[in-house]
Amino acid sequence: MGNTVSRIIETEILVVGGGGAGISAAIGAARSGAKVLLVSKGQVGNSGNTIMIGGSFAMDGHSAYYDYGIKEADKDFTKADLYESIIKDGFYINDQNMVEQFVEESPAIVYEVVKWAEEAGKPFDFGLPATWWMSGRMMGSALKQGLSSTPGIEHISDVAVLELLSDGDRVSGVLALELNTGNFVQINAKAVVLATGGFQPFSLKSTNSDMTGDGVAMAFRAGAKVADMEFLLFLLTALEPQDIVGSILPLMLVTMPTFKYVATDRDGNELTMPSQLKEMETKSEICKLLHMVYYGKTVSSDKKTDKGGIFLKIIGTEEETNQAFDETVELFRKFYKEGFYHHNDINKVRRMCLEKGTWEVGLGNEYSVGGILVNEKMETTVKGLFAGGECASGVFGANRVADAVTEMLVQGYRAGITAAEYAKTAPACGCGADSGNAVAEKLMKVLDNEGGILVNEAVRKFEAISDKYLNCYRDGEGLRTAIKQYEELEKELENATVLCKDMAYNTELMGLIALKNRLLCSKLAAYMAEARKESRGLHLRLDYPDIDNKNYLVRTIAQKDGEDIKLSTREPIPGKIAPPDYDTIEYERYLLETGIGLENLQD
Amino acid sequence: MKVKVLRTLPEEHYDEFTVPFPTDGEYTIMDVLRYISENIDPTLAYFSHAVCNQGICGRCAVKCNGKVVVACITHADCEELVLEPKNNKVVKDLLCQ
Ligand SMILES: Cc1cc2nc3c(=O)[nH]c(=O)nc-3n(C[C@H](O)[C@H](O)[C@H](O)COP(=O)(O)OP(=O)(O)OC[C@H]3O[C@@H](n4cnc5c(N)ncnc54)[C@H](O)[C@@H]3O)c2cc1C
Ligand code: FES
Repeated sequence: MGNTVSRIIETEILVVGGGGAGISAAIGAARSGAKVLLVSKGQVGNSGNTIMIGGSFAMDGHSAYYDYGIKEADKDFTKADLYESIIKDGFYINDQNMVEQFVEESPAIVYEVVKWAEEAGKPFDFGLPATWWMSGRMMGSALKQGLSSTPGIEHISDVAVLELLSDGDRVSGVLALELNTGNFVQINAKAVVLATGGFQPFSLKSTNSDMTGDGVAMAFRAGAKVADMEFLLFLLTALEPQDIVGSILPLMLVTMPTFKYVATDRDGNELTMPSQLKEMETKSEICKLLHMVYYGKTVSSDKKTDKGGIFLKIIGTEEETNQAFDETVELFRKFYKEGFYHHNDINKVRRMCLEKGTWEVGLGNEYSVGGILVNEKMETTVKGLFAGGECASGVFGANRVADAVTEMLVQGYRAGITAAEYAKTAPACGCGADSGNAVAEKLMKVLDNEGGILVNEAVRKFEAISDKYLNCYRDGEGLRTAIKQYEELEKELENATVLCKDMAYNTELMGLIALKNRLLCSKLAAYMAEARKESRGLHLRLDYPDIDNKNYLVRTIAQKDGEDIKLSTREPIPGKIAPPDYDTIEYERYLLETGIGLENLQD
Repeated sequence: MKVKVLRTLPEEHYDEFTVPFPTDGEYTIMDVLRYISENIDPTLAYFSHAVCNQGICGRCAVKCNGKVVVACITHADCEELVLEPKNNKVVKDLLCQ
């Protein structure tokens, strides 16, 4: 143990993050001939939102049918259809070079992962149009199968990367903390790939607790541009029974045609949506956005329930409700112990719903659309730094309906290949031990603080700000308050006090590092949300309810400018789909008339 | 409920906490650990850096009243809990390698 770097590791490519994007990146880089080290805060293949997966991932049906010989696939669902859907569902601010990369390159890696699952003895389950259903655990074993069958990759778990190290104008290493020993390790690399996943600002969690935006925050601090962070995807999440709080089982139920319900506020007032949209609930994952739009206002108001959500009031007959639960049990029977979703007891929820006639649910934040700005090769705006998966941005525009799992695989794999190409001609890392030591020593100073805010208290404060002002519906005044309060809290954290001075698995210190990153990401999200004076996709403004293409058909970008944040906008990179030719449109009209909603729930 | 937890610093001993949860089987052992950490003693070490909280990763296992259980899916349903590390490869408190 020591307050300076205990050892220096040299590698060619460093991949940060042991979820799907990180493992794919490591494999992509190793296959391109590079020496790869994969480092992960959680366990490689057993952490991140990758293991939280509760549904499916896909490729276009045409490729599945013709290129991979899958005769059950819907061959009429083409790459062009998928491409167009992603743009419409993204409210036209997707970078179309990113969409092209997603659509063109995903079939190969999706198919390969399906094969790894078979080799691992835990095959996925096929559905239409060309979708594979599985659990997060099964995805983890498929990825580990791919990893172990690829030579040239070393990996270490339970090591958190704290900061990127620069050598002149390029990133060429990191400072990391071995969580169990408390030792600092410097890793020198020719190229660094970030695959650290998203960020989660709120108190209700359906995500893995390692979703603290570390990669996005580190990249920003290293001078990289980040974008689109105002777009956060929420979905129906259990608030009861207590032992499954945070589960996304409610979403699974409402996508069953036999589950008949109406949403109500705390007083029983019904929250309705147009029937044409309600019909999409069982066909497309656009339902997540619809729930935000039509139920989110209640969650952001004093009409919310005691636990901060809404009620699903069961209006089907007992027979229908039983059938919905039976179908849910059947859907997941192949992946979990019979009667369970992950470890949620489906029949206990069934009994509760039948007895009470209601289910109290919230809107939990599942996914961050924004993140590090990359191009179609997964190059960030800083030399030597690459990113892919949920920590990156660009492909889904203002809203995601297509699969994040496909995104993590296709972007991770490409990031690995590009990083390996770059490393072929990049000079060796020039970071001396000094650069790591400086970061480590700064961090260790925290242990000297006394009498300041405790980490747990700061986390509570932070989440309360996010819950109140950055939730589904926002307004300008609230967002400005959020920014002010986030900044005050940032100041307060300078004197945050860690009571435990022992460095081995120091939960408080780990919590403080994570909180600072979450706070930075959320502050950037609030800045971007405040600047976007319209509603679009997952960004819903009470004070600007319409979509404003005249002024905001743009991506919002942030970059560090000394100690300040420099915000800018740019038009999305054009492609096959022309931008809309109207200036302003009511949000609901867009939903009704644009043909949004990739149909990815049919089976 | 009363919760006795094996601590490793400065040397091995048990700390006793009172946690205001009903024992009707709704709260999990992970909820109990989080409660202690967030409200009573933040220095407690238990698995907290990549928590799925859904019984997926299997990494939060602890010994509860002598039996190894997965903390985030096991109900804290008795008046007195004794929590100890799941094996003898202890890093700190309840956290094992
Ligand atoms: C409940 C739930 C269900 C979902 N279901 C689906 C679904 O059915 N279909 C779908 O398409 N998408 C789904 N998603 C979204 C999808 O799972 C994620 O977007 C995707 O898995 C992200 O992959 P990733 O590799 O980019 O990041 P993650 O899987 O989150 O991995 C990030 C990795 O980085 C590590 N890490 C983080 N910080 C650091 C650091 N500082 N140093 C080192 N390592 C670090 C983490 O430990 C982890 O290993 C779901 C998400 C949730 C929350
Ligand atoms: S935290 Fe993953 S199983 Fe308990």
